[in-house]
Amino acid sequence: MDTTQLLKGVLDLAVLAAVEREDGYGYDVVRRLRAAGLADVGDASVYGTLRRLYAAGALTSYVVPSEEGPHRKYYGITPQGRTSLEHQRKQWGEFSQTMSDLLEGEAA
Amino acid sequence: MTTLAPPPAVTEYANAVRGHLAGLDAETLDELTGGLEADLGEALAERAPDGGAADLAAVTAVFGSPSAYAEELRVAAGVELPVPVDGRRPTLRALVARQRAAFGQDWARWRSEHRWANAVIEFLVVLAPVWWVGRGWVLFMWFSGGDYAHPLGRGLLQHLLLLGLVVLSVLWGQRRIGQQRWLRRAGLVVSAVAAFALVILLNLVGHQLGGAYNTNYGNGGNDGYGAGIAEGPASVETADPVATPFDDLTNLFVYDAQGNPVENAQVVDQNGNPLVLADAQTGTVWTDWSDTVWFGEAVPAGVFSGDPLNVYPLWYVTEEAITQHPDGSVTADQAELDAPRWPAASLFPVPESSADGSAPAKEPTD
Repeated sequence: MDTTQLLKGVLDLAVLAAVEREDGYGYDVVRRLRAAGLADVGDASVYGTLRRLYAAGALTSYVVPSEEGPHRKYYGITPQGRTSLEHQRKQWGEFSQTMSDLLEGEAA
Repeated sequence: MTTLAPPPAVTEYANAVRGHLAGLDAETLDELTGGLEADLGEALAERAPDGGAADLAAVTAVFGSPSAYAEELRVAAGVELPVPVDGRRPTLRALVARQRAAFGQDWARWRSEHRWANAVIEFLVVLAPVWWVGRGWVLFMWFSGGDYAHPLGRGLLQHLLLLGLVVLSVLWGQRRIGQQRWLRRAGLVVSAVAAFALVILLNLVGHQLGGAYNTNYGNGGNDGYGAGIAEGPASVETADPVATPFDDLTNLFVYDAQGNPVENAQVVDQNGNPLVLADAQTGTVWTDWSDTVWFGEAVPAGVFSGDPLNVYPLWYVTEEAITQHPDGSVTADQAELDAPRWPAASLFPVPESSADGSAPAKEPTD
């Protein structure tokens, strides 16, 4: 299975985690996700997810002028986003454990 | 280079993306693509700083085809495009979304073909902060009740309100606050109304400060005026005081026939109406003065004491001696009067022929 397909369901979680510790602008977040190993993640997915999370109130945003190019829109996590992240983190932990157990069980 | 407006090619690409998602309802489309241009511009600056935004082909080379980009957006958000059903009419929303996307593409194409239009648009974008301040001011006029004579408010509270609303308007303009969908829509409606109101308000305030509407104010000074002229000529019961037609006239100095200064000279017009001067700044006749038109300048003592205002030279209460109270009312310390400064200690006596009150002799010339 293509990892892009796997990523689909957890993109919100991945993006929230990417800005949890430090605010970042769109392409910053793309780079962080790729550096973390999600090499196939696309611009459109990340930017779209940032916009959706912002509209939903999970992220806050501010513009920082840039000397070299257009102003950069930085995103930071809101308390609501943090709560959501914690919740999804727990869900993911349980789900991935279940999958690991299942797969290891099959292998055994 | 710092650009505020997205390059036309970016707008064209974004509109093409929207076109591929036109089947979505307007809200979802807005959620997926609101701010797309800015994000594309930012990503372009990172990925292709040199010439990435030159034209649609260059943008496509960086991001892939608009349809693929649209598809990635849609899939990442987990939304499905509605399947068109034959024989069923498209919903109004879908039609509107399609029209918007089509208009957007036409607009972007037109812009890319007309370079001067880009120059104009970029210039307008640069001017946007001026509009943001204007919008804040319109809101202030709305909240404060719209005192045209005090367009910047009166008292600390009103000044703070004005400052606060301008800051809010600017922050919203910079998209730093209130970008949730419903707030954004409400803000757009408010902005549209404010744009109309701004034109009307500027006109009204311009007239007000120009002194054209000096009769609009309360008649706070009239009671004192009425009492002060009770002993004047019979005809002063006519309501309107005579305003001076002269701009910047702040005082009158009367000298008698011998050229000596006359204190407390009463001046009336041909009908016996008291000649009352007007505030040089606002054009408000002193008998019409009220605390709502105070601009922080000196005011004749009679305004506060109720003494007649056609007695010259006028004694002014200095602005430092006037106190504005939190409720907006104004009181004056009558002890702090600014003595009139006579332009000359005395004048030459009037020549005999006219000083005796008879008409100057006019000899026939023939």
